[in-house]
Amino acid sequence: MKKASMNIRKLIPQIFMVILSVIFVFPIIWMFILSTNSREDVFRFPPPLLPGDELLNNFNRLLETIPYFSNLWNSVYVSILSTLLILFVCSFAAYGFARFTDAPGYKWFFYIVVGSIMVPPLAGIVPWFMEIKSLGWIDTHWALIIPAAAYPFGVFWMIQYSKQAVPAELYESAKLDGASELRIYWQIVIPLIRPGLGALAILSFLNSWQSFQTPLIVLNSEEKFTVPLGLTNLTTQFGTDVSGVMLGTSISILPIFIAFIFASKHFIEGLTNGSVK
Amino acid sequence: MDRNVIVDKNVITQASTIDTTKKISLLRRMKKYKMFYFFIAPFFILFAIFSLFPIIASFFIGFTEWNGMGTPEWVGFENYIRLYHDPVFIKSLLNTLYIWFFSTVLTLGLAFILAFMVNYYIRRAKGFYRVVFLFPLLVAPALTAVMISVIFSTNSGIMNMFLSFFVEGTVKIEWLRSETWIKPLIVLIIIWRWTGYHFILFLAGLQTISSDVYEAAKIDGASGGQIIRKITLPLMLPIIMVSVLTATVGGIQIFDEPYVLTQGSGGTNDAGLSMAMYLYQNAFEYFDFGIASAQSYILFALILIFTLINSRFLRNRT
Repeated sequence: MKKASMNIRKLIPQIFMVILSVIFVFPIIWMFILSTNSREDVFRFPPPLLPGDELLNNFNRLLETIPYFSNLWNSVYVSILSTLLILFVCSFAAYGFARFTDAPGYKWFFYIVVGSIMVPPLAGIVPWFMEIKSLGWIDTHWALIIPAAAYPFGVFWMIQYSKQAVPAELYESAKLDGASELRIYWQIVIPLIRPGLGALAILSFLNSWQSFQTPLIVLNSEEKFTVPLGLTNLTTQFGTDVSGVMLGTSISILPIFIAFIFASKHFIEGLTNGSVK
Repeated sequence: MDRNVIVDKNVITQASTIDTTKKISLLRRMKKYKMFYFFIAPFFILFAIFSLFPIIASFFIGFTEWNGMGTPEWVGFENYIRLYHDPVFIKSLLNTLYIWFFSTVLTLGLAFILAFMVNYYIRRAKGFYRVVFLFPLLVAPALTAVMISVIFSTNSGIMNMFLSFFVEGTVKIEWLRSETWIKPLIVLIIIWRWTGYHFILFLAGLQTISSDVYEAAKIDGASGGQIIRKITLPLMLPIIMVSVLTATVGGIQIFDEPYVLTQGSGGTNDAGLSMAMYLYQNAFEYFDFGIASAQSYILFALILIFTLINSRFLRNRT
């Protein structure tokens, strides 16, 4: 009798977890299903719950209505360039902070980095926009790549990571061996902080890949749009092509899902490490 | 008298020599550490141009009337007064607080329950749940909003179909156009997106609490509820506060979800208009840069206040 009630008590959380996971995954699965059904079937009542055979038609129609491939390509190269730049700028600054702790003004520079982590980007949006305008970066991808590199959180995180991954004596012994600072940075420190860089890369890539507000403010022409902007524009323009939008969304998240499943450990680290530290 | 003057002079010359040697040594030290400035330069140059300067300039533009062309006209506090009397702004503020409050409480509550269950009742597949609940974080918020608007569409949404099972006829609730439902939908998107994130943080925190503590409490005759209230929650408080802060900073700036759900309009009677959205409208649709800058600073101040409260709270506790 006691054993049976124990089993039920153990079973309830299991069932709860299973139901909740289904609810959480359902929208994504339904999105995949809708993208294989025809535009008309999606609007029939009740809506389809099983995969259809309209995938190719939806795909062709998607390519006809918006420059989807250009948008996808824009997202890919903007995210990659932005990530590379962030990795360089942040690890470079972190090297300075982790290596020269006695430098004059160290404290103040460090306070600026930490203090600006919580500052909302919207706080300076109007002058920022005017700057972008006077640089001639409106409707260009530079506006999405260059300013994003001033990422205080990335610097902070890399400082913490470098301090823990690179022993201080290492700098001195490398210095005694006659290595220049740039060489120490590139050949000794970078290999040691690679896991941290990987996590930061995942975080910055996703930030850029999912970004909506900045592209909305800066970009005007459809060919320049990134995926989130292109697809939301599709819904506002042609309010009815649900299966097209769902297909576009599916394509844009599929590579990330696959990467996530194969490297979930790194993803979890990249997405959550920041607040743990 | 004379002696006094001499003494004073001595002090002065001494002080100034200390000062100059200090200055020289500072310069020398800066030279010695020039590589420090070299390494941090790329970040701080970009930061000064694209963050620091805009934020400072924004403060001053907030006291002017300006449409982006010509010279800004100084109007003092008029923008702030106008916002105070603007019912749309007040509405956007209340909407944002509503969204922030419910999304934070519900997301963190659900995440905590999940973490608690997985930690104490689930033996196998812990990794599986961590992966499953993190899936939503991989979909861009703007596209999540598109997905939600499909699920809750009036004529063919799966939500209305689901509800139709329980009543006669077909349910045709206009979720997206309804003043009542638009905010809960935004909250729902935030819950869906962020629960997994906080769940993982909480789970990591729970795993650091050793089972000895619980054993000891059980031996002392503490009930389950008491254990949670007196042991688990206090030990988890630092992590919970960090989560509250993250959720708050994100919640106050909410933009993508309401923008896409209401197609940029703010919804029926601005029921889904967030502060960030109204700021965007004033800046980039009406080109009222003065008002928009004042709004930026109100947003900034709100986040600052929440951050300070949070850190004060954390410091008092630890």
